[in-house]
Amino acid sequence: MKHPENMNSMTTQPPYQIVPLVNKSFLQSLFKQQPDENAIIAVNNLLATTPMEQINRAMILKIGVEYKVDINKMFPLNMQEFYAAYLNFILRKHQVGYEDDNSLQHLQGILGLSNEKVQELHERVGKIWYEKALKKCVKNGVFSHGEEKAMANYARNLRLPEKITSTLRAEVGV
Amino acid sequence: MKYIPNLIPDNAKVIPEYFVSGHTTDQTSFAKKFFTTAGAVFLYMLALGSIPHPPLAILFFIMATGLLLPVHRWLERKLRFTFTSIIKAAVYSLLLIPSFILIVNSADDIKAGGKPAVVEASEKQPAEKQASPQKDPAQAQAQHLLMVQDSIRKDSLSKDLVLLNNPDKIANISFDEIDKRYDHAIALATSPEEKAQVDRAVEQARTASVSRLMKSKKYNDALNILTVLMIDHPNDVSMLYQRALCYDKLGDDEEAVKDLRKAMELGSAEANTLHEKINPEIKKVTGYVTRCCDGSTSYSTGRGTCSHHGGVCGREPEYETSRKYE
Repeated sequence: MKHPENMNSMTTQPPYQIVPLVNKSFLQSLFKQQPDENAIIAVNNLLATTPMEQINRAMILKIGVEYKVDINKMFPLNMQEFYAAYLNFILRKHQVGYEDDNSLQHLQGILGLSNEKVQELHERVGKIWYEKALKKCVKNGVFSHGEEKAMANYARNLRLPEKITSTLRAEVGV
Repeated sequence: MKYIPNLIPDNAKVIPEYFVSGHTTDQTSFAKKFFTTAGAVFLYMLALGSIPHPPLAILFFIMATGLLLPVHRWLERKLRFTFTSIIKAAVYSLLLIPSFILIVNSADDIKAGGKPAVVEASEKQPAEKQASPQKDPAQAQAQHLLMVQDSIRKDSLSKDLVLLNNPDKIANISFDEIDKRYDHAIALATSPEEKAQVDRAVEQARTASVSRLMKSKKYNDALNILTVLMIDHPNDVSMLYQRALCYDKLGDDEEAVKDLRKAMELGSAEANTLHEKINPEIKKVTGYVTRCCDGSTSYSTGRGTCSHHGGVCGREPEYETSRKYE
């Protein structure tokens, strides 16, 4: 199973980029405060500059302490986005799924995301990939038994529940 | 809860409809919301109650508005800083200092004249409006401006008068300071009544100042002040008496007697008493006279004296009276 996205250079480079820190305002300098957003930018820059396996949860917490911010409480969406972007990157890289990729589990740990939130992200991202694959299968007008079996296997790898896959199949007309 | 966009490169973004700015929820605790709202309501009520004193009302209004959570967040966003409790406490303390000064001034005004000048002005306004209902808005605005200026002038004048009429406060300020207050107040006074009021207050203040100097036995200082004051009030009985007292204490009885005589001419009983003490009458025997038994007197001393008046009943001395300082 191949996707057009798999062909670009994004399959090899992790989906993070270095972002410059925000300058302090006059009042922040006066009261010796740090811009809050620099905490999440620092986390982003850490992900962009350090190999995933060398990062641990303590490093993220240390950034929170440095900027006097509870990063997970203040920037939950950004933390989820880091995970979702990496999940998308893994899907591109492995093409068929990510059941053997331990880096996702490690990322969940360092970002401090709950299992429920991670499952929700898997469903949201996986849905896109499953739908694309499904559309590609029925492009020639035939949905063979082999393709059906492969798609079922793909859905399992993407951790998509039956409810979502059946809805998508109904939408595509399979 | 915040979301910082554009951290992930555009070509790596996923489910963009889920990761959007504004996807935030308010995490402020109920207690914080309750107390800030209650504080704001309280300050708004104070602002309403202070409407007769506009600067105070504006200060309370600013403080109340600053407590509201949406305004708080707007300030943090616009000024790019975290409005922490410590910063807020410092800002409010700074705002409370002018409020306190304004409250004290307002209280002084009420003590002095019953009502703050601004209230007085606002009360006069409807009556004046009734008298001239046909004025155009520009004229009315100019008149209002004049009234505001006048009320400010009255406020300042009333402040000076309160100080000059307060014996406790006046006891602690110098004569020069009284002069400065007088110059300030007289410049503010426009009507003859106000000028007379200032003159009375200053005279009282000066007298109080002299009394304070005399109590602390600074007779020389008191004498100098009285001499200056008496240029304008040469026939002031009280000042004449006090200056005489100073002269007496400084050992210049002759000058004391001069002042006392003038005060006595003006009907001062206490001046008379002091004069009798400083410059008593001196009696000197100048001769003797023979008293006849019928009550008549004779200067004869030989036999036959008072022979036609029932005989001699006694001899009495004759006196000449004088004072040291005539």
